[in-house]
Amino acid sequence: MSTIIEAQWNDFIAGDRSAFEQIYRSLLPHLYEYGMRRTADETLVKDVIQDLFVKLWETREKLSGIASPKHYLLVALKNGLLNAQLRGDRLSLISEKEEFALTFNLESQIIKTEDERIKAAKLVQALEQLTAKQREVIYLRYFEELSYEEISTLTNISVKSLYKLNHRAMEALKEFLTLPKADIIALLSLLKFIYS
Amino acid sequence: MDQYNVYTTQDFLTDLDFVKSVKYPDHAEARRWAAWRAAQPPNAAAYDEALFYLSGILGLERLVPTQLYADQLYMDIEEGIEKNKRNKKRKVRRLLVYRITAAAVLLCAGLFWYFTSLITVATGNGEIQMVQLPDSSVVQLNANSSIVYRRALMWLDKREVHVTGEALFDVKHLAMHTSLPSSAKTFIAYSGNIAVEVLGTKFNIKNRGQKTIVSLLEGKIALRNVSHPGEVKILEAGDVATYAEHSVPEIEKNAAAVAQASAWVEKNLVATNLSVGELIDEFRYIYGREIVITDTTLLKTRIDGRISLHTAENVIYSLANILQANIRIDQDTVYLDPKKGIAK
Repeated sequence: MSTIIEAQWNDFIAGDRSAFEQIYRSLLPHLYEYGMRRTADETLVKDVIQDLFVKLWETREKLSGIASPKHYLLVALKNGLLNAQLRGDRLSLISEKEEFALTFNLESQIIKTEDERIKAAKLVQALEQLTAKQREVIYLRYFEELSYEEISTLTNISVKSLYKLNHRAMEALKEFLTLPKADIIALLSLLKFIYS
Repeated sequence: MDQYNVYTTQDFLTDLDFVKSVKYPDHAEARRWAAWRAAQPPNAAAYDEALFYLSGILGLERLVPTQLYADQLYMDIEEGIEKNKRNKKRKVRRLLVYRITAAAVLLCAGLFWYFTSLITVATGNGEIQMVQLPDSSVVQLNANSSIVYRRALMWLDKREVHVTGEALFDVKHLAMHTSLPSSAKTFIAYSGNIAVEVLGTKFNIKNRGQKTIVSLLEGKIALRNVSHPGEVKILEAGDVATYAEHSVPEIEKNAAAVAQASAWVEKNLVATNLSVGELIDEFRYIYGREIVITDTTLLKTRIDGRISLHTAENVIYSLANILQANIRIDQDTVYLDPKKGIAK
């Protein structure tokens, strides 16, 4: 995935339009998914991504020093979305709280027994109780496979805090899974208290 | 792989290599992880637990853009790029138009200034100045006189200058075209209402109040009165034309007077039957000072010969000597009092 971008990046900077399109095609799923998780507005995400790539093409001569185009564009996308929301392009969608939507399903290959199925259901329930920041970190780490340094610039959380955040999220999950069902409700409120 | 033998669940979950081995099971790296697990490492339980958590996390429902969305978005991007390119081109074109307009305006202003601006040279008391015109004609300007001409003198159909006071002209003959030697550019010197039209000559214009005297040293001139355009007088070398109160000049052939007319250039005045009153008037024009003769009967005394105009004092001493008078100076006015012995 990233190797395609690395191979095309220099051609793109030299003005090769097909290299530009290939970079777009391989990066769009990442940008789309991240954008859609931050705001559910598909049109807004489209507008911001359009501006992003128009600008990328026009300023290509200054972009040779970029180490990770994917990370660069994710940061640009986040800023673009924030700016659009601050400008009030989509007034109705501005929410006070920061959102990061994650929906899990149970169709995992490793679930074989009934016990595992119950455990998995609890896990999903627990994951969905994490804070927006925790969900964003988990997404960027396990799906975008970004380094903690890259996650840090995207989320404005220090690398040290990120380690802690991830660790505590996992601890919370672990605890959640070993509890009897009756205590789950109590733990959920505790989780919210710790990470809010 | 032995380093993983001490990993806790937490360690596995923060290790990207572990994450990748689960995400991409077909990869060579994943097979090494599977072999490691199959060897029953001491922390197999921690690995299994981490695997369970990760599998749950990887059960995330992914959000994938449709092909249509991706294609439409790419078309929008291309359109945006083209639009910006057009705008930039339009901006560049607009900038070019601005620049050309600005340059044209500047050029017009420059030409306007060049063709309308005037050059003025003026002299003060006792000052004589040589002026070289753009056409190489030379004008000697007497004291308290001025000459005004256009900066673009050379580019205009007629070479025109305006003079006040007294000036000696040496006009260069200027052919319009080399193929037509007969048609030369006219040179016109204006002094009040009098216009002196020449092609290439040497003449002196002297304006004193109502009186204008034109003395022709060389060549030929056409003399006109601007307010009576019909009447043209042709002067030849040695002629002196004097305009007094009438619009028609008195013309007189007087080679000696013509020769004396330009003596001022050498700071001399050659007098032939000149009255003291006339000398005092001339002195006033040149030095801006007044000479008062206490005994007014002396004003009619006639003078012949050469008087130096070099300094005001030269003139005063010469006059005092002629009139046998005493000099008394009060600020800018010079009084010539008759000597007592002679008065008796």
